[in-house]
This record gives sequence, structure tokens and C-alpha cells, in this order.
Amino acid sequence: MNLKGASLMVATIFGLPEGVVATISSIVILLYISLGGLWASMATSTLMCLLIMVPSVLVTTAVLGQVGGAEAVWQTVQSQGGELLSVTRPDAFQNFGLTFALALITATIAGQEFWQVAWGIKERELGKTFFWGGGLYYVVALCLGVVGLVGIALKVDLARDLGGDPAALGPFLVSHLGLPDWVIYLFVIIVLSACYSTCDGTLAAVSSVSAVDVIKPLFPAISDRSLFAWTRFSMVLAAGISVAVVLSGIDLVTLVLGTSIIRAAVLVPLVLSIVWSRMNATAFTAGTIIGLIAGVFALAKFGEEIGTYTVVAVSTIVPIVIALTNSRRFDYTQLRQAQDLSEIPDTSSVALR
Amino acid sequence: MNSLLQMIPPSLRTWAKRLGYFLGGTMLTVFYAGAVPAQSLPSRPLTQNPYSPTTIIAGVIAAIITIFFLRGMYLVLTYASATYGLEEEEEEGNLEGGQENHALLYGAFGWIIGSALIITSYGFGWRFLYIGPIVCLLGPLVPIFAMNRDIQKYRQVLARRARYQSSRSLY
Repeated sequence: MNLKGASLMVATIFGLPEGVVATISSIVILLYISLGGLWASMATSTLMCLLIMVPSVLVTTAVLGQVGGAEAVWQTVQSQGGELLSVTRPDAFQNFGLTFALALITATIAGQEFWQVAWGIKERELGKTFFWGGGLYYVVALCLGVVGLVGIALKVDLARDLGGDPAALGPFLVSHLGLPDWVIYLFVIIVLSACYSTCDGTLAAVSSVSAVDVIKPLFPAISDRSLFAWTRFSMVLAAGISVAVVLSGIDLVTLVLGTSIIRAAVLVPLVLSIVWSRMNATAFTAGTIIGLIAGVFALAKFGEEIGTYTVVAVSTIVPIVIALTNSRRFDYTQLRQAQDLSEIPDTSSVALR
Repeated sequence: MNSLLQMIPPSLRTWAKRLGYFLGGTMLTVFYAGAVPAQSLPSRPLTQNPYSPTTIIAGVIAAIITIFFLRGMYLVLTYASATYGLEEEEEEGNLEGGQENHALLYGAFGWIIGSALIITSYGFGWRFLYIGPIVCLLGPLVPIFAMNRDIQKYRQVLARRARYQSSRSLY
């Protein structure tokens, strides 16, 4: 999704094929992620924080200045009516807001890359670090969201100008308003930094998940050298799949909403797995898959809002019912004591006390 | 390249290599994309002036923040490598640090609620549109503050070690 976003942005600005941008970006990420570990990833992400936040302000103010200032933009949007400046429009919530909000929450809870960061941070620093991470994420959206109002003010046409992909609005405006080159380059840096910071964490997560959950269980006696090589291969494979998704031509909003449905199906079973010792692999898997299937059918028949409610409801009820029949409990102290996560026994091995 | 790496402390070389690849890759992508000129609107856009006073003021503040941010990153990485393995035993019972953590935590809650209010305020008047960019511009102060706190902590660790070593040498 991040690779698609970055490819779309850069391709829209410079008129390049998205596949070319996606391929170059993937190679760059794979190259630099092959060096250093989690500590290096965090250090790089800290720099990217600067490269996203500061240029966002300069791009937004330059765009506003280019189109006559904030007052002109606000008056023009206001004059178009339709409560375009209101946050209480129900259609925005139903069509996009609900699923997207759930997806953002789930992305943080379910994203393996965030768990890696969580394991890497000292316990006493953990809470505030994630709160500030969320807070700083909001302000970038609040800042660049103003550029969206400029698009409304200029009556940018979704089909004609953006090829049906609303996410192309930002790069379309930045590249078509006659702004100086430095503004365009700053925007590209914002997009690439956001893409790289997420993709490198995700690829690192793919690497660790493939090692712990796939390769080591299949080949317990594998040497460290071979394991290292296979985890690197898993990253290349994941990057290749991402490029293939970009090349498929799917639009970003559909991709975001599609992955949001999947993430919504994971949300409750995952939270239950963390807080409820009765949960086991069967309850988690069944809850996620049945919730997803029910949600996709509801989405196709009743639309975004009902589809999302269905996913959340089914993926809540199913694991609870299955877990209630489970007579065994997971012993969380195993996680604290474990030296190798791949050697933790199955949850069902711990009897209910 | 190797001679350049020799100038960097060994513990920072991997990080420097990684950062070099990231910056090099970003520059490569930008220059490659720059080989193709940006597209232009078929009709003339509503052109004013991107170098408005707001942009210039934002640019000056951004430059100052960038300097402090990079300085903080450099010092944190340097001190972190210098105190690697030493800090754990020095961290307990820091009341002042605990108060700072509480302040940051409550501040984060306030920030999240504030963000919701900011987006609501966009509908109240054009001046409110600048709140988002202002808060975003001030956002990097959070990591700068956090890095400064870490630097103070690392300095304390180093000072304690120096005192400990000097006291041992007396005996």
C-alpha cells in the first residue's frame, strides 16, 4: 500500500510509469535494509520524521501562496456549499471514515513492524513513545489535508484529472500549479520518506516472521547462515509481490479500503489474543477468516458501512464462542522467559488452572 | 569510501552506511524523476506567489528546527555508542525523569484531542487553516526534546563512570 502510494505520487508528478518508480523504490529499500538491524532502522526512521514533517509545512504554505492564500481557498470551498468544510457529514463517515479509522487502529495493533519497535523500546518509554508517534502522525495529515481543500477550491475533476484515484490529488496539484522545482522535490522527499520508513519496517517484520513462524518450524536444524539467507529471500519475495500489486493497476483508495477490511477482521481476534488467556490459534484463525468472508459478502451487498460493521461483529463473536469452549489457558510468562520465540509451545499445552 | 568510513567511530559505521544508502537512493530517485520535467496544466493555473511571507517565515523556522534536530540525532548516536552497556544500572529511581514521562504522556493525550479540534476548526474560518501547518512545523520539537533528555542522561552516565574510575584509581 505504501509502495503503491509512493509510486502513484511520483508517477503523477513526473509522468513516469508507476512500475518503474515501484521497482526503483523497492531496490533502494532492499539495499539499505540489508545493512543494520532494528536499532539502525529506528535511527533512520527518526531522520525520516524530520524529512516528512518539515517539508510538509513548506509544501502546504507554498501551495496556499500559489493559489492566492488560505482566505481565497476557504472562501471558494465555502461558496461551493454541501458542507464541504464540516466534519459531521455522515456520507464521509460511512464511505471512508469508519473503515479508515479502524484500519489505522488495526495497523498499529496488528502491524508486525510496530511490535518490533515495541520490543526494542524500554518498557518505561513505551507508552509515551507510541502516544507521541500517533500525535505526530495526526499533524502531518492535518497539514497536508489543507492541500486537499485547494483541490476542492480548484474543482479538480476526479475522473478527468486524477484518473479516478482521489489519492493522486496532492501530487497532481503540486506538479500542475506551476510551483518552483524545490517544492516538487520536497513533496517527492516527503512521499519517499513516508514510503521508505514504513516499507523498511514492514520488510524487517517479514524477515522475522518468516524466520520464526515459517522457516524454523519447517527446518528446526537450519544453520544461522542459511536462516539469514532465507530471511533475506523472504524480503525480496515480499518486495516482488508489492511491485506486482502496483503493476496490477489497482487504484490506491480501493487498495486502502480492501486492506482495511482485512485489517478490521484481524483487530478484535488479535486484541483478544493479547488480553484473554483462553484465546488460541483456532479461535484467532476462525474469527479472522469467517469475519473476513462475512464482511466481503456484506460489503458487496450492502456497502462500506454495513460491511465494516459485519466484519467487526463476526470477528468478535466467532473467536469468543470458540475460546469459551477452550479449557486451556496460555501462560504469558513464557513470553517473558523465552529466548527463542519459535520454541514456545502451542497455547493449548498449558492446562486451565 | 573505506577511508571515509574509517573517520567514523566503528559503532556508527553500519548506521552511517545504511543512512548513506537511504540518502543516496532518495537522491537517485529524485534525480531520475527530475530528468522528466513536471507536468503542466492544460489551462493556466490560478498563479499567485509561492514565496509568500508565510512560506518564508515557515522556511526560516524549519531551518532552525532542522539544525537542532540533526544536532540532537548526532549527539544521541555518539553518546549512545559511548555508553553502550553502561546505562541500565544507572537508570533506576530518577524522580525527575518520571515527572517528565508523565508530562509527556498527558501532553500526548492532549495532542490527540487537540488534533480532532483542529480539523473541526477548519470549518470556522480561513485563519484556522494555518493551525495544522503550525503544529506540524512544531512537531519535530518533540523528538528534539526527547533527544535532549537522552543526551543529559548519557552525560550523567559518563560522569558517574568517570567518577567511579577516578575513585578506583585512588585505591
